[in-house]
Amino acid sequence: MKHGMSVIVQSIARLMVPFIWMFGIYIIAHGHISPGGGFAGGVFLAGGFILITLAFGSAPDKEERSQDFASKLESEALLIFLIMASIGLVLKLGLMANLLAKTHPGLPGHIAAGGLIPWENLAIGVEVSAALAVMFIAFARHRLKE
Amino acid sequence: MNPLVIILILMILGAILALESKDLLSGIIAMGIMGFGLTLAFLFLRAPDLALVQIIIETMTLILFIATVKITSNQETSERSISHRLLPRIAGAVFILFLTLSFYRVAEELPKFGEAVIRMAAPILAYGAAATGSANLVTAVILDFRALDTLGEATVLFTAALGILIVLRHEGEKR
Amino acid sequence: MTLYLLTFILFAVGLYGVWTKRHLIRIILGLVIMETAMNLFLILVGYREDGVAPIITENSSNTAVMVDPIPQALVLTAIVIGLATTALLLAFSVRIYAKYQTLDLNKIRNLRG
Repeated sequence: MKHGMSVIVQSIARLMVPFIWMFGIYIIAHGHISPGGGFAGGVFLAGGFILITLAFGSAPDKEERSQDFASKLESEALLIFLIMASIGLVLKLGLMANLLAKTHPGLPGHIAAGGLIPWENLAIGVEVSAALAVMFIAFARHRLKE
Repeated sequence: MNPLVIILILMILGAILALESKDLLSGIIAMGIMGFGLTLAFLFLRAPDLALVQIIIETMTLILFIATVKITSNQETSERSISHRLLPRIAGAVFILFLTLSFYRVAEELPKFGEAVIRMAAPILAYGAAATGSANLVTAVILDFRALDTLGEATVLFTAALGILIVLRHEGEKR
Repeated sequence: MTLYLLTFILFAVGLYGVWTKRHLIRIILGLVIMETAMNLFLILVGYREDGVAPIITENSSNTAVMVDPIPQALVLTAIVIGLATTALLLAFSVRIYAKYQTLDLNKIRNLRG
């Protein structure tokens, strides 16, 4: 894994990964209109990251840095999701109350609708992608050490 | 004939191949038959959200399994030994019998395929989009009506990642 | 009924693998098979004939029959959790291999004590 794969794989990965990430972000952003959402989009983002790591390989110190970054990102996303959940509790609306849906309902089917749902989708997407990336890097680092 | 029946038979064949193949790597790849068959089945059952997640989760499961086989070894077990004593075999047979009987009992109670009775989801289908502003009702259920469920799911994912980091760590290990 | 029976057979195949195999990775494969069968079963129960996906679009009429969204939401989380727990099991088997140099349960049992 240190040296990555062949030139063909690397060129294809370089071409494909921006589109994979764009597709993941699109799926997260349109999760309340079309099929998809935080889970699907987050898994796509993690898939793009895994493609890069497999194609180009990486050095142990770089692995360690990206693992630290991913695990911090994961914790922060979960924290943001928890804060969004508990705002409703503070305002006596109940846990996970959908705040903005009452005041700014928006039209169903448009992107500016759904109250807190797009933001919660974003937090879930970051959390899922960072968690899967952490798992994958843990396996990759273990193999580097062997 | 329903195309789902053909897909399900293929999935069962893939599962048997995954368990019984001589080589471990080919068994893991045969598991892919089952996962992608599940993706197709989700599309036929009108669940595009699930198909979108399943098709890439399957690939990542495959990558993790192959990484594990590369780290460990590709050798098979020396002998296949179900316990040779009599008692475990009788217990196994009785358990299978019990499971099959309870399946038949449950299958009588269930609504026929394609005629699901929607009780809990009826208000969600009727007013869900207007109440939450989300046109995708699955997202509305995940992040509004049952958001506590999603919070628990995120916690499980976080804990699993934490567990993997702890189990596979190298720092502070005696050499 | 045929579909329910086939799903049950898929579950039984996974159970058979967990029961009779003595290689840790095969046992994890059996668990994945059982999980697949359960996810498929939940979605099968919520299906309605001629139903559409539970997504409202501008040109869909209000009378359109939709499939049940609640099983879909539950299975969506279950799929992602399934990957996480499978990865945790694989991490455990990696550690067991580092300690015993084998994944054969019979040998691991003999090595103990």
